[in-house]
Amino acid sequence: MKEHKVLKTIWKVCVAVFLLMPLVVTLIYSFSERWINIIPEGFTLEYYVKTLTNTTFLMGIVRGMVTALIPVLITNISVLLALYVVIVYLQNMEKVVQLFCLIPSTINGIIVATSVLGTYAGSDTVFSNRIFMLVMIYCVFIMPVTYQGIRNSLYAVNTAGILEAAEMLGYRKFHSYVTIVIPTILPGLCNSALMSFAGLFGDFAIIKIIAASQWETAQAYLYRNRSTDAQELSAAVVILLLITLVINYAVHKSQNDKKGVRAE
Amino acid sequence: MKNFKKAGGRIAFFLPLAFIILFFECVPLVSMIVKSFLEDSGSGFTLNNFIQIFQKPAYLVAIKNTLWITILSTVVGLIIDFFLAMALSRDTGKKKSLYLSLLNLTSNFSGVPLSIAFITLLGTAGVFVLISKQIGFTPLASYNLYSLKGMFIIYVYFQIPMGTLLLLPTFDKVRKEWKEAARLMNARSVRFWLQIGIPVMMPGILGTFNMLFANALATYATPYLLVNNSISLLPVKIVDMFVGDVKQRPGLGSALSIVMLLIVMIEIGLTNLCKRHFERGTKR
Repeated sequence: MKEHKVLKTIWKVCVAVFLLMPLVVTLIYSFSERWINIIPEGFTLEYYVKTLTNTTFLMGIVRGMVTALIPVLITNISVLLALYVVIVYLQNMEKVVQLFCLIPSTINGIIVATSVLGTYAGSDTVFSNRIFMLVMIYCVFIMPVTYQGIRNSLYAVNTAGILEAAEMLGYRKFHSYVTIVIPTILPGLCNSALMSFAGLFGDFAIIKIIAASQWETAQAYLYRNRSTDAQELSAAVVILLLITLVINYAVHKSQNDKKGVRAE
Repeated sequence: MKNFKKAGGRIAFFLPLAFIILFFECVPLVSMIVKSFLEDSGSGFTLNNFIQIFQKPAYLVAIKNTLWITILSTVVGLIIDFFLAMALSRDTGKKKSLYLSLLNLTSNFSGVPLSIAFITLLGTAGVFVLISKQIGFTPLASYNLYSLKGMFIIYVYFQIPMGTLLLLPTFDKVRKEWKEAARLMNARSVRFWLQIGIPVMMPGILGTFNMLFANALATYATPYLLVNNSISLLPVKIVDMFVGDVKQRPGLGSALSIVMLLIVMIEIGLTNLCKRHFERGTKR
């Protein structure tokens, strides 16, 4: 038994080192003046100053956040509305909604994006607007995660029962859905929403296919400048990682809050 | 009339979701399938696109490369994940939550930033390559990240956090008492896992396999950044057909998309068959 413990620890350490290696090296690289020998030389914040004053990169982060936030909001609201009707009035529609919401998990982002582009590009409608297309594709892309998250939370709190009880007390069902059920499931909702947000913020494939030239996000910026100064790039990578870290922390916190509420 | 109005109200709640699903999921998908059977000039039914894919070496190589890196990275990733999740499953407290934070962080570390980090590490002027050259460690000094085998390490990298996080809950299914009982009956640890642990966990493992497979198959940023067109992979080829600098061929691109879709569906079908076999085992 002891022997196994040692083996397990060794394995954990090995994998952790492998996982940390690119992170640590990028971090050190971004702070050093140059690294062409065994040990990096000099310490500098120059590259961070450069990156953080680079408006193109900063705008890229803002753009990435905007096109990650809007789809998350749209998808969450539309799934919440649809599932309200399903739970209250049309239980037999559940399977249909589930099928269509889970299809995107089989067809991956690249196929969704190329097929939408092939269908609507060049058609002179609002659908051919690249940014509109991008937002809608993102909506489809995060549909499975959002649907699963919302569905599980709605059933966990026994929505149908709560709504019926509220109706008996004289409230309209939709009113109590918005004022009672949704606030109750909000922590779980935030959790899946933040996960989708992080996924969309880190997307490169779809943005490249749809709108890389018109809507340059941070990822697209990194790609365009891939052959410029390596230290500056590393600094940009570290900044993006920090943003991810903040989102992760938020996810973690929303999970803990949920546990706290349950414990009470 | 009142009833009609009520039904109308209900349908209105469906509209946003229906709009997204109809116009950005169903219509494009159908149009893609139709397009794959059309000439690019837009007239006439043809199987040419598919015939080309299975005759021209360029596309066959793309399919072969994609399958190679997807399957191998999934299997290797799954093995690493399995033992890591096993080691983590009995841990508790701060140590475990720290490790989980690391996994969560690295699971979001993907795409262009990850590839850039690996270029810093192992690229032509990468830190490790330069160090190895100085100390004369040849295997690393001549590491070629810009090849299929070189890229493999990045694929394994992003399979680790995702797979481990997915596998961890399935380890809870294997109860401690079973292990103790097996030990009392003189079964060694390896035998316990092979005959009891893994079969019980099989549905979870296969589900994880599916996710990792789909994840690797759809990886675009890494190969696009590192090898672009020198080594052809299915996702890069598909995108090229729609937005490439060369001539755009949506018909062929659609056909390639369908091939990719078929690969996913065959893979899911096979794992489902396996799953059913093991689920039957647990019911008896």
